[in-house]
Amino acid sequence: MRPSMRLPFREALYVCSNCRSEAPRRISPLARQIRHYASDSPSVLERTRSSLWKGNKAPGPADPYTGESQLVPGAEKGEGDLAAPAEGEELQDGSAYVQAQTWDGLKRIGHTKEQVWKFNGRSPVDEYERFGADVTPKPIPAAAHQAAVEISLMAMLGKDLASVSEIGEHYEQIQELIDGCAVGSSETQQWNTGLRFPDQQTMEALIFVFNQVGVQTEKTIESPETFISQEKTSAEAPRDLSLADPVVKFAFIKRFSQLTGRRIPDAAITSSTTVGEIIASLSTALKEKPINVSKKLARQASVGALPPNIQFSKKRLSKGDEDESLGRKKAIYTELIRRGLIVRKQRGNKNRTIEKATGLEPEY
Amino acid sequence: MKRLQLQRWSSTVLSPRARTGNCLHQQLYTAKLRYQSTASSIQSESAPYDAIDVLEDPKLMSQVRRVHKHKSALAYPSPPVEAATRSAKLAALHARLYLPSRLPLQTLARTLVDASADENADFNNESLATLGHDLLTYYTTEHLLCNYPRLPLTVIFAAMYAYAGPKTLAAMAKEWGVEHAAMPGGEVDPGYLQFQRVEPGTDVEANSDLQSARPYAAQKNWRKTVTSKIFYDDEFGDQIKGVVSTGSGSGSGVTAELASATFVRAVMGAIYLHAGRPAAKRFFEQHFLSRHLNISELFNFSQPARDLARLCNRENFEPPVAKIISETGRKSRHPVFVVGIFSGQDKLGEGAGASLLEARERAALAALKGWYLYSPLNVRVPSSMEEEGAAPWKPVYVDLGEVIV
Repeated sequence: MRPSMRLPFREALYVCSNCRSEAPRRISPLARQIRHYASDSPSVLERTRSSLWKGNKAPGPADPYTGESQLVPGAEKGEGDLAAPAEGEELQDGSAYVQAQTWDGLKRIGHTKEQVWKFNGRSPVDEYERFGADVTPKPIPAAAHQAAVEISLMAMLGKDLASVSEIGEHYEQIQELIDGCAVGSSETQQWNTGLRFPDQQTMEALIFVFNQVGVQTEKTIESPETFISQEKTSAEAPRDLSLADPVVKFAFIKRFSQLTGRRIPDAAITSSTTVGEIIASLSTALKEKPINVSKKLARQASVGALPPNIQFSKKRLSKGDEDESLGRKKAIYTELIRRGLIVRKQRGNKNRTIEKATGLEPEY
Repeated sequence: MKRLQLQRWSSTVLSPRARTGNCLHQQLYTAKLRYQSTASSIQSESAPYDAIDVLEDPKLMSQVRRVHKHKSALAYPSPPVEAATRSAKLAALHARLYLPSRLPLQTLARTLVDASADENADFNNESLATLGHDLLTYYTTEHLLCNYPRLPLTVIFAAMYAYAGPKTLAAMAKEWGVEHAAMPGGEVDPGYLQFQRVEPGTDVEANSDLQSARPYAAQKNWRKTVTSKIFYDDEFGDQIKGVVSTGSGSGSGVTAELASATFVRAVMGAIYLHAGRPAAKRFFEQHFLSRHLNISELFNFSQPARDLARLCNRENFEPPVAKIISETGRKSRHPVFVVGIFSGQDKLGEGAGASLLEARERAALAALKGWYLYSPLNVRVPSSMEEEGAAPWKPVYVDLGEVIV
């Protein structure tokens, strides 16, 4: 296609001689319009441009995107300004100059700021770990009990409840202390009063530990004797513990999900108002793992339970296995070795005893 | 096994006329040197080979062995016995052929090892094939002779070949789904038929030297009477060829057709040995007699009218007379004549043709086929007497034989 058909003749940066000679015969509608207006009035392009830019300060007729035409005389500007220094000039400047052999340590140019992150490579910060990956999954009753005790403790201390999840796993001694505590059913819907410790020592230790969680505090409990119960405590959280408070609910579910290693469905979260309902929602059986057919068949084959006309192989059978069962593998390899197409690998590399090397004499 | 040395005088005892052309005799009395020497028996008792012919070089052998899964089995010329129970192909073949359960997989694996693959007689199928071949030919012969007592000898030979000839057996092995191993060896799946292949370019026909006892056997152009074939030739009326030089080491091989035929015979022998005679007969009926063979197409008369005249003369019938039964379009381009051949009042045969002569020939042909293809009703074969509680034997019909012109 001729450029004059796509671009207004005047706008084209370069028009070949053929089109230039053809141009007078084909007068474009634009040119006809231009001719129509008086010569001193602005051209249609000018008027369009000024209407687009909404003002008198429209950019000039020059195309801001494509740059200047190569045909414009004097385009090669500033000769000598950016001229490369003569060869060997740099070397004379300083004797400390060492020519680079690799690009390591050289200044990088031609990249954006965001790409710096990519150049720096992978750091430990970049590694992703799913929520609860650092906690060994616990059975549901134990997890519910621990979450209830911890959240009650945080409520007693008046701290941010959700920050329990920062702990992850406790040390063994602290875990034992937590297991020894119990949460009474909160009919008054008060989590900060339901916790019962077996003795004073346990209470002090746990309060000390949980003061360190999140923002460090030094809070102590008034009238600690009310929280100590000599009764035999149950290892389960009471099922009617209220989760009406959304803050408590969020903290409990977060910690509970972390400790069990299971995701709790949204429907269960929204519909449940007590701990028991949350536990009940998790009682549905987990999805069964799909049967690994190869393992099952391998087990059957080892017992001899497979039908005799079925041969089972754990690995995918290769062409070489078929050759061997047909008896031609020995002939193939003999001929390859005789022709020097397979050379035995040097001793020491036990993993690959044979490697391919064409054009070499066989060595045994 | 130690075999007696045959003395010189024994050749008169074992005169060519005294022996039948069965496979066992071929094995024993033709060029089988290893059975006649004590050295061969020692060899058969000794351990299997140390190396395969292809891999004489021990260094090469060790390197080739390294790439194999079944390294230890590589030292044997045929798969070890315990491999038979692991092979799915073998179990599938056993089930496909509906073989009796008393026939173990190990024996079935042995039937698949040709003598050219493993020359040790304890591991190849040669002995089983010898037994199976004799059983097959015996059952086929008695079936043909009892069911069609008047068949000419040439037709019997052709029918025998069609029922139990090597080409048929090879086709059966193919239909059974038996595949061939590329090379025999211990690492090969025992479900493959294993035999040493013939070198490319070998003339198979020229390789077999004639072992016929027929005098002047070398004279190819001399006429051989059909009757003499009973004595001198094998059960198919072909010249007895020398036993293929099996197991004589490298260079010798058998054709795939021959190896397949040997395998089928060996299966027959194995069934007979393991499951007994009834099972073998059942196998024969199910796999061999069930194959349809149109015997009437095997005839080839040169002058049927003359043969028929001689036949009527021999049987003291009235001389045959050809009469036009009907005709149409005698003067047209396509006339049809229907001619019947009558002996007195009895119509022997009828034929239609475009000319009177052609119609007469066809009528004579039909009459001759009607005579020769006579089959008695309720036939019993001699081997049925071997069953327990069999009814007393009633002699079968024996014919005078074909008309000799």
